[in-house]
Amino acid sequence: MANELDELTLARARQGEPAALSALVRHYEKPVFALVGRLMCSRAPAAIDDVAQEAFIRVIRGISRFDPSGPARLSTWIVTVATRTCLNALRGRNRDAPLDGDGQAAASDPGASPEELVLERERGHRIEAAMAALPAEMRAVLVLRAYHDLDYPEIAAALDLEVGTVKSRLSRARMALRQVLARGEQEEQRA
Amino acid sequence: VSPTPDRSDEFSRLERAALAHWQAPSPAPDFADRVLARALAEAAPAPPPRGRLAVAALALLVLGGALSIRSMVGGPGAVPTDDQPSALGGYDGGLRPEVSSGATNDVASEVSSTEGDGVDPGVRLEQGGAGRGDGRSAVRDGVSRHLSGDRPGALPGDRRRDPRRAFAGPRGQPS
Repeated sequence: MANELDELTLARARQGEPAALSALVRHYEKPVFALVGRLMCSRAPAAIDDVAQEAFIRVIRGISRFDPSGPARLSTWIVTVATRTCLNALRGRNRDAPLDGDGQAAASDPGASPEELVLERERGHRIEAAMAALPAEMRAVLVLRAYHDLDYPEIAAALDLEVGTVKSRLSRARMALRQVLARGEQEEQRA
Repeated sequence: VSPTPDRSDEFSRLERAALAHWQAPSPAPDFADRVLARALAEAAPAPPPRGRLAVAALALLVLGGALSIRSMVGGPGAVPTDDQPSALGGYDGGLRPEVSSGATNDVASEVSSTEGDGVDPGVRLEQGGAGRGDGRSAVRDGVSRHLSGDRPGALPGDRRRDPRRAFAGPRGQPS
């Protein structure tokens, strides 16, 4: 995650100053939005916005209880809050809700050829589909590890799991990812 | 790509390249403003819930309605009316023999109408009513003895057997 919020702003945010709270939200909105977007797997942008907003509301409510001198970094704490908020939201939703992949298109290399752009987009869709097929808790382990650099104990604490469970779930998620990559390579070779 | 699980902690180059294709959405420019506005709105003191006000209003209506019905139907707090003799001076039971033995409503109303001014000839004073002890009680007692004692066999207060009652006026005085 991005570098941490400065101590002074954090202290003011803990006292409930609106300007400091606004700075906190702006500092962490991109990683939180990315986390929620990946965990919700391409659901409608409005739903992602709602969950991200709810996560920040919980962060603001609990920021006064966050201990800067404690073992957890602020970013880890915020990611934990956002992950739990998102998993709670996913448990209450229909898992078969239609996917909306338009907002999840792969980043385009400005110098890439049209064929390469198409290939990249197809790879992005395959990855998304493979991750969407995983159980949400398994997907969360992969996302926290791959995109937010949480170590195993931090992931275990965020998801309220044993470290061994975190490792096994990450291993299975990576296996699913490799299978998708293998199928993609075969399709590209045929094409 | 091997389908077997990789137990190493680090993602392989191929895995990282694949995960890099999984792009994430970005927040809208006004996302932080909306979050802060919602947080401040939730932190503001909430007005009293409408539900409580509605329940309080309903309770007042029910209570007021119950009191109104009670005052209309009657009861300890009922408003006195002219057709309720007990309300005029305290019902002492003296009229019961007359009413229950076939007295007409006219007699009952005559008695009740004369009780109020304290000149009634002994009907209620025989029973030790409210007028006992005042300055007029001796006169009343005399009238009462006159009405009941002069006639052998007459019961105290039995005006129907008194032949002079046939000539009595509205106030019980011989006309």
